[in-house]
Order: sequence, then C-alpha cells, then structure tokens
Amino acid sequence: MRTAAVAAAVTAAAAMILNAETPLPRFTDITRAAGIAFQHTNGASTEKHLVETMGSGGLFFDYDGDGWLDVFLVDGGSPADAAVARRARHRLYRNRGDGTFADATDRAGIQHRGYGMGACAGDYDGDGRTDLYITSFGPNVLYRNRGDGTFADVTAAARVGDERFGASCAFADLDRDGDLDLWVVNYVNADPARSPFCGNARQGLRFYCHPLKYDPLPSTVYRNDGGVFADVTAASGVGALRSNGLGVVIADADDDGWPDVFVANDTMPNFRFRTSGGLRFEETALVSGVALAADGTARAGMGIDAGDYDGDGRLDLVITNLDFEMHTLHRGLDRGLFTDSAIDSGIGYPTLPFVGFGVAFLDYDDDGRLDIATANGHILDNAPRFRAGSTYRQRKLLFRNTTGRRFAEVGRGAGAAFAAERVGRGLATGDIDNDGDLDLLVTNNGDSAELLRNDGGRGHALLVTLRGPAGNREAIGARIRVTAGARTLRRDVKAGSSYLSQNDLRAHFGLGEATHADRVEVQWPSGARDTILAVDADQSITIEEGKGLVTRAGLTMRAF
Amino acid sequence: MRASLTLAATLLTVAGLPAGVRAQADAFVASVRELAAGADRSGPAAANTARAAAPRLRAALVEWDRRLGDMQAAVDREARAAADRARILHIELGVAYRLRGRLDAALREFDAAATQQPAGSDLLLLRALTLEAAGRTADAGAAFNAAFAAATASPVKAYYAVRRSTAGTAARATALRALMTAYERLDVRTRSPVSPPFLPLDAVPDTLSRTPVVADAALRETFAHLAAGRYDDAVAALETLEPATRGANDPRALLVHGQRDEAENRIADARLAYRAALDGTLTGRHALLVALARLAQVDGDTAAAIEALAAAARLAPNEPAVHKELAGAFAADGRRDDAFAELMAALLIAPGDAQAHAAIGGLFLDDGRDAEAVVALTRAIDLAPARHETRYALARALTRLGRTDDAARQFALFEAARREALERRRRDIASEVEREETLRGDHPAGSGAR
Repeated sequence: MRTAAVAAAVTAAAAMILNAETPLPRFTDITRAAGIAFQHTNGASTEKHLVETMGSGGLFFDYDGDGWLDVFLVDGGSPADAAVARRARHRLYRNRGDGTFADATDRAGIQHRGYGMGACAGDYDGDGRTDLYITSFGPNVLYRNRGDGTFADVTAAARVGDERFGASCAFADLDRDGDLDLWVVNYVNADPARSPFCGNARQGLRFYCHPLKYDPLPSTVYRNDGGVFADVTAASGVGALRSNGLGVVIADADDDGWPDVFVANDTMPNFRFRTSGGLRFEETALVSGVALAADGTARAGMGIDAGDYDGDGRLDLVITNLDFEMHTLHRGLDRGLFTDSAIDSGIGYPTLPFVGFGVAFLDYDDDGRLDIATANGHILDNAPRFRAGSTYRQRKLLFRNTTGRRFAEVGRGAGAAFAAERVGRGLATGDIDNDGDLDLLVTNNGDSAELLRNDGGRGHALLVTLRGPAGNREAIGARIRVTAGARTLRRDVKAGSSYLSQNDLRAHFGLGEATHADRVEVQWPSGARDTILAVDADQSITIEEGKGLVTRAGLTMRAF
Repeated sequence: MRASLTLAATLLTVAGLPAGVRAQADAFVASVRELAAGADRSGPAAANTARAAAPRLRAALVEWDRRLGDMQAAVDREARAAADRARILHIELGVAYRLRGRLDAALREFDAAATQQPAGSDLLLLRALTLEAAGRTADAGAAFNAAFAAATASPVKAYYAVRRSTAGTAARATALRALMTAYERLDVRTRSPVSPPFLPLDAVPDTLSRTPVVADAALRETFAHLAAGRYDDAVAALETLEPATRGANDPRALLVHGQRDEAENRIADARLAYRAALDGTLTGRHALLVALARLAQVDGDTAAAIEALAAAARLAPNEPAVHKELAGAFAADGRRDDAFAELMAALLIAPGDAQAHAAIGGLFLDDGRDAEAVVALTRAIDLAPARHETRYALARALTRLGRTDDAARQFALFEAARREALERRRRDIASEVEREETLRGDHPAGSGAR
C-alpha cells in the first residue's frame, strides 16, 4: 500500500507539472455521445465521378432560436448508383442544451435532392428566423424557416434552383439595400452521366480527373428583391469570369463600407470582387495580391476564411490548397492590398504534405489571437498509387498563433480525435455548449462527421450576438471591435466560409487574462455604429442596432 | 568584388607554397577518394578492400607530415628574415597545419605572422575560420569582426561579420550597410570569380561529392574521423577494421531508412534517420543537411532547419544553392538581415544569379522597402526574363509604390504568360485523357489525374 501511495503522489505531482506545462485546450470527440449519427454518402464508384471526392459540408446555426447552436450536415449521393443515391439524406440536429442533439430532420421537412455539396444560412426574408440554402451537384435548394421547427422548400418561388455543380455559398447584403443577397460558387461543368477516364488504361489505374479536364463555371449572384431573388450574374460582371470555384468568404477587407467577395479557385487564380455599389463587381485579385501565391502560381484553392490574425485591424485571408503547394496566408496591408505570409508565418512548410479543405480562423485557446484549423484529406482515394507517401486519410492541422505574426502547428497535441486521420472536407466553428470556447464540426468524405468539443479554454471570453433591423436581422456583414486593455480585436459576421460550410454567426472574442472589455464597438452594415463600454467577460451578450446592449447572460461552466 | 580578389590572393598564396601546401595533401586526398569510391559496397569483401587502403593512407600521412616538418624547419631557419617574408612563411605554415587538422599549431603560426606587422584582414579571417573549426566560437566571432574592421569595404568579410561575428548591433549594422552598398554597386553582368570567394580550409572538402558518401557500420568510425579532420584516428580505425553486420549502427542503412521514411511522409522518423546517418558520412554532408533542413521545415521546426543549413553553408561555402536555401529559412523565421547576407553570399559566388536577386526583391517587399524591391526584381528580370513569378513580384512592388501604369504593364505580361501556360496544361490534360480512353477502347475520347 505504501508503494501505491508513493506512486499516487508521484503521479499527482506529475499531473500538476503537466498541467502547468501543457495548458493548451484539447478537442474531445463527442459525436456519438451527442447523438449525431451522420454518415456521409459519397457514392464512390469505379467510374470516378469527380463529385465523389469533393465531400459535403456542414454548418452551425441556431435554427430554433433557443440560444443553443444546432447542426446541419449535407449529404452527398451517387451519380453512378441510383440505389445509393436514394439512401443519401441531409441531417438537421437540434441542440437540446444538455450535451445531446436530437435528429430533427424529418420533423423539419428537409429533403435530399441531387448530390449535396455545401450550405449556408441566413434570414433572407427578414422574419427573424434563420433560413437554409443547400448547394448541390444538381438543383440547389432554399428552405425557408417557418419558425415552428419546420422548413418550407421555397426554391422555385425564390428562383434560386441553379442546377449546375454548386459548391460553397454565402449570404451577404451585397448592395447594402438592407436585405441579404446570395453568392453561390460553382465548380466545373461535369457530366453526371459519364465520367472521363483519367489514369493509365494499360495498368488499369483510374483516378479522379484533374479539374482542368472540365470547363470552369462562373459564380451565381442573386439579388434579394423582397424574398424573391433575381439572378444578376451577368449584369454584375461576374458571369464573364469562369473558374473552378470552391470556397467563398464575404467581408469588407478595405474598410470602404462595401463587402468584398473572395472566391477560392481550384488550380486557377482566386478572385476578389470589389463593388462600389449597384451590384457591379470588378475583379481585382491579381492587383490585390490574393489571386496567386507569392511565387506567382495559381494553387488549388479549396477553403477560405477571413480574419484579423495579426491584430492590426485589417482582414487577412487563409486559403487551403493541394499537397506540395502549401496553404496560403494573405496578410492584409493598407489600401486593400495583401502579401503572402504563408512561409514567414510558419504555416507554409508544415502544410506541404496536406490536401487542405475546410479552414477557419478561430481563437481556440481564448488568448485573443486568431488561430487556424484545417480539415485535410487527399483528393485521390488511391493516392499512394499515384504518389508514394501520399495518404487518402490525413490528420487535421491546428496552427496556434504564438506571437500575432507566427504560428506553431499543435494538432498532434490537440486530442486524439483531432489528431486522427480522416478524409476531411468541411469544417465549421461554434460554441455548442455556450462555455466561451469554440468547438468544431468536421465533415469527412464517405465517412461520419465529427463534433469536437473544446475542453480547456484558458482565458476569459465574450460571445456577441448582433440584432440588425428587419431584412438583415443577423447583421451579416457587421464588424465588431472589442478593446480590452491595449488590444483591440476585430471580428466580422460572415454567413458562409471555409469549404462548403458556415460558422456560428455569433462573434467570439477570447480575452485572455482580461476580465472585462473596455469597449465593444459595432459597425453595422448600414454604416451606423453602436458602442458599449465596460462589458464584463464570460458573458454572452446581444447588441441591437440603435439600442445597444439588450441582453446578457453568463457563459455556462462546462454545460456538458 | 574587391574583397573576393583579396581573398583570392590569399588562396594564391596558399597554392603558391614552395612545396605546395595543397599538394602536400594530394596523395592522402586521392586515397580518401578511392576509399569513398568503394564505400557503396558492404560485407567481408568490402571490409578487406577498405582495410587494404589503410597502408596507402598511412604512407600518405607520413609523407604529408614529413613535408610539414620540412616547412616548419624552413620557417625556423628564416625566422629572422625580412618581416614580409617571415609573415608569409608563417601564414603558409599555418594554412598547412590547418589543412592537416592541427589547429593549435595553425593558430600559433597565424599569431606569429601577426607579430611581424599589423595583421591584415585576410590573416584575421584565416585565424577566425581556424578558431571556428576549433570550436572556439566566441573567439572566432571576435576574429570575424576584427577581419571586417580591417577591411570594411569587403563584402566577403562583411558577410562573415553579419553571420558569424559576436560583435554588437552597431558593428553588425555597419557590416549590413557594407553588404547593402555592395549590392547596390553589384554589376550583375560580372562573371563569377575565377577563385571562389569563400576559402575552404579542409584537406578533404565536403564538396568532394555532391551526394552523401555514407559508410556502412564497419567504416562508420573511419568516416567520422575523416569528416572531423582527425586523419590519424581515421587511419588507425581503418587498420583495425572488422566486418560489421547491418544494424542500428549502420549509417548507410539509416540513410536508406530515412529516404524511405521521407518518401512515405514519416517526417520525424526520416529526420532521426538522416541525423544518425550524418555521423558516418564522409563527404556530401551538406546535401544531407539540406535534406534534414527541409524535413525540419515541414515539421515546423524552423530553428533546426536554420541550424542544419548553417552547418551546410559552412561545409560548402561556395555553393550558392545552400546559401539561398539558408536565406529562405531565415526569411521564414523573420530574420531578413541574415537572409539578405546569405543571398549576398550567393551573389558573391555568382553575381548573375537571377533567383538570388529575385529573393532579395522578395525580402525588400516583405520589409515594405518597395523601391529597393523594384531595383532587385528588375535586375532579376533582366537576367531571366522568362521567370514569370519574378514579374508578378515586380508588378506587386510597383503597385505598392503607386506606379500603377508600370504595374499594369508587368501584370499584363505576367498574365499573358500565365494564361498561355494554363491553356497549354488544359490541352495536355485533354489529350492525355483522349489517348487513354482510346487505349481503353472506351469512348471517343483517358491520364489527367491531378
């Protein structure tokens, strides 16, 4: 017994030392325990239809308005096998607030059509309830949230049923008329009936084709005219620009009050669309410095996010790419210009072996600095036959922001589930347990999704929900600046980012040691500003345009 | 380029020794070459072959030492010669000892040379390099700075002062300014100097081979001694050589493991294997260190990458590619001054290296020194007009300077080339697919995988 007691004391002492030395949060896989039983259908076949490897996305949104984030997961399908295609089902999971989720798909009335790709959510009709748009290889679908736990398919009436190869989408008030418009990124023109043979006929090797085998497509731009959308792609100038688009994020990068649309393009230069009104866009990526990597090459852009990782008040961009390319990190300079900081930030070389898809800026350790998480997985299910050393399943990456300018990859130490190798595609962030740290939703191609709970946020935090006027109740496009001590943090409200995915619409601020924010300033899409002084940390607050702080609630202490 | 000429003069002095300081080592180096050539074999027969080399190496060492003895005697005889003559003799003998790996004796001779008259910068540099080889880093740092202080217009000595001196920030800033001035005055049309600007002082230079020459378990100890300049120990180890079985102590097997681990993306394992293989690598260690550095970068270990590349640059001081790779690692770590110094080292070796000019342009661009970036990038484009990525960087620098018309012209040229390349690739993929589909007897039109 004495030996055991000594051993226990030594173990306890070691744990204290470990706690002191390894205080970083870890992610715990709670998917199964939470009741999320989603299995993605990718329809993988010997015909190697391109869509089979693209995966599908997922999002966090509070569809029932109860203050707890719900989960929506897009399912794929099968171009090659109708029976497999029939088994595909999107899934909506309602957060019960006790650590479990209820499958609310049937009750919600959400059906599956085509081959599901991505989703984005926003209150397009201004009724205060968050609606849902699903992109597909096949017809896209708009679901209006009735507010009673059910959704109505309003695709036809709203005129947003594009049948091309849709990818990521985003809601934003592009023309600043007060309601939410819709941007849909399209990938390539692929024939669902027949897949070209890419590979080596003699060796009987077949791979998914390179995207340049297909014709590129332009994005689709929908203007919201009172709940019905007008396709303004051609008139906006966007229709003339075809590319292999996959990711999109919309935010005002040059602080001119107008949203900038950034599109990540696969093997073609990325786009940056600028407008100065009237839904006419000018494509300026090349001059802005975001079209290409520093070496002047177009990379295989997949996922994209915007955030101010260096705390200089300007937005930066992160884009995931193919292996042997490096993911790109475009640091914002003045005058709306960017510089590729992938290598000097430390994210360049460590991403070389990875095919990146979902990506998000997130302050996972609540220290006030934006970190980066990526979901990775190869395009080729037979990757080792194509290139020795390549693997189809790849681990996720977590880049911890250590100095404001540099990152260290800490994914292997972020929990067994985080470090596990999967065929990652979509990735979204949100605080599912309202405890002030950001959790993750990850989708995997042809595999189960993952709900990863963040355990161990060390700092204080603030969650900010915005309420805009009717038309854009979620204040998508607003910018929030929180000042705590010497630091001012910027977060933008975005409805659609990453790869085929969307994050929590609430803005999350890790405050580190600060127990309160000195100042919270909201710049609304209308241009108006609200400022609230002296806000205690560890709260979830709601700010309404013109009214200021309207609700506050303490964060939960590890609700589940 | 003036400094490289003065160093070249030192080299000529070394080469012009009466008995031929370099030539003293020739027989030994030739035997080492033979040993290295047979190093890819293993087993008892290989051990026999290697053991057979021992008498030749022993004889070469004896002859080398005899000649050194003659030189020492000559220096002792002429100790009272005119100061200039005595100084040269001490320097020659110091270099000869340095080549033989007798570092203390070399330093003694360099110090004796310095007493004859105020030490020149070349002598100070020889002393610094020898102190560095002896592991006396702090003394070496001070000596590098003294060498630069004695010749502040010399970019080579400025390079050493930036990279290896222990001088304070003011002296480092002075050396950086000297490098910058040298860059501004650099004539990109100048041919590479006949004599390399950086003086290699090892009898068995690492650059004897471009790829690593790695021992099996039996030869590991011999190679390790040779690589460290411990030639007597190396020959003694060879004379008592026993065949060894392959195992954890077999550097060549470790290299193979490392290559396999690298190919299969097991980065940490590959790093361990390469690091272990390094102990038994005779020459071409710089190449192995570059591979180690690349792996370290993928592992996010920038400090290890820099350490490995800095070691590679010491081993292969006249390899521009190593300096450029080290510059890249410094840039990745935000150490732009060190990166610039390494790129200048590359340009001192090859003034017309377009890639190095472009990289300097990139450093300036990252530093917000847009006007200087335009100068460097323009040089790079003049040297290599087909490097479209440089044109892209130039266009961005011009944009940041507000020279929008110039930027537009460069963007247009870049875009035309990029679009053409994209369409060519699209056509290539289409024709590959068509060919494979035809072979398959499929549809009219299949490779084209990504």
